[in-house]
Amino acid sequence: MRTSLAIDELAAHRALSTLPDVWLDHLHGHVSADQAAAAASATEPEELVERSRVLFAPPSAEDEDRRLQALLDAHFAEPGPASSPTSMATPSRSRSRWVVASVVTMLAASLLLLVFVPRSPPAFDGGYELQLSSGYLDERAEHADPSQPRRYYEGQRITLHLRPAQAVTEPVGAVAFAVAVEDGSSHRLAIEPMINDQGVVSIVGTPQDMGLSAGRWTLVVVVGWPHHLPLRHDDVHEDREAPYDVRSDEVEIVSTDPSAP
Amino acid sequence: MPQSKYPELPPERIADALAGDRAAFAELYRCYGLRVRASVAAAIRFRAELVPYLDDILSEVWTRFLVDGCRPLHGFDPQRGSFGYYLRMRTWAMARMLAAQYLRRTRLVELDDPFVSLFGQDGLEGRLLGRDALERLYEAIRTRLDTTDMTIFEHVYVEGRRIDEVGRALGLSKDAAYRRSHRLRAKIQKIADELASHGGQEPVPLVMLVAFVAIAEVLSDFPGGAP
Repeated sequence: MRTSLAIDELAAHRALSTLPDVWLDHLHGHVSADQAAAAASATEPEELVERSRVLFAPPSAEDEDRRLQALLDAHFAEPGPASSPTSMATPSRSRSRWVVASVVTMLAASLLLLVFVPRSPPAFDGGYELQLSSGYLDERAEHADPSQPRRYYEGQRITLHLRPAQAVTEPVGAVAFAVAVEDGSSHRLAIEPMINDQGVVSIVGTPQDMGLSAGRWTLVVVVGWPHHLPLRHDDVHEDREAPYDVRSDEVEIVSTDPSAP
Repeated sequence: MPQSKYPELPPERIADALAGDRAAFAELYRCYGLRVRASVAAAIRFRAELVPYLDDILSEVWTRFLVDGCRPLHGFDPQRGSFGYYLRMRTWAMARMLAAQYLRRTRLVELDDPFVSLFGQDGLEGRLLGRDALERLYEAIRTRLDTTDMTIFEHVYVEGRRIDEVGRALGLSKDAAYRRSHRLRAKIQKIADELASHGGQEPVPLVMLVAFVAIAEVLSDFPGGAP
């Protein structure tokens, strides 16, 4: 599961809202290619207009029918005889119609109850372990105090790996936050966690990429059911019933590499 | 919320189609098929080398939407806008993700190419802001980001142009343009989070829509005289 950011949605929105309407009109056959090109030329370069003329050419009705048929055949079952309209219209079936209708009503009501009655999402326990890449002291083989947080300089790449106790093959999502130790302020990391098909989560980037300025930070990574991940750090609950695992570690960011020559 | 001049299917038919009703899907395709095609075209039109792949990408987009009984489309939330808008947004993102696969067939694609995705999905499933919220977000970033950031956003993220090409036009080295485009993600997310903290909305699941439609249909089946 990819965790998208606002920029992805905004880019899609802008791309579609700035597309000249005239190309959609042309695709629907409401204006000719020449009319569309003439109108689009007022705002777009000639090269783009010519390319759009090709891309927005209306497909033939036969091509559309073929594509639809292929999709229907591949993904939708042929209707069986029981669902033909005449089979429902005979008066002798009116009693069974009532029975079917009652069952459908009860099922629909049950569905509504299921939706409206507050329920807890299923708990998640992947047994994840968080590993951080070496800080600059480790990299230089100097003694690092294990009781102190790992230290990274601003341009240094930080890698976070979260590995489950056993491979997780169900879809999982992940989100990461940074919490300033000094004042408790938090933000969501701008880096999208990558998740492989075994459920291993990776986050790679420099402190700048992660929005970390010099100072101490607690990195909090949340892994769990995709639709139950918290949007803000304040919403993170670390309990056994939570629909996600929460792992965190403290790091310190220093503005430059002090041991550099 | 601005209305499209193109028609929308009634919600119950959309629910039927996404629940696997063959006839309802045929109606859905007839209603939205050209808009889906337009979104694929919009996603690739700034890259000449992708034009020959329009139909291939279009077929792949539909196939991906229809797997597992249309599961990828079940995140549609009528509270956040029309189905047409949702489908166009998802299509655009999916087409951009798939386009990278076609680029790779002919040449080595650099990892910083905005078409390259490390993920197997379009990224918008289950997380789609409403059209009005996105308009507000765009207005906010327009007032808070500088010209360079806005240029990178429009050319790299919206149009999908290569970062080095955009960087050159801005007088930035490739590395500087890449760093800047990467930081832009964080800046926009921060602005979006601030806007969201002033009032978000929980999505209404499709299942509620299906339940309402089922009850309405059953009630409408009953004439004044009982059997």
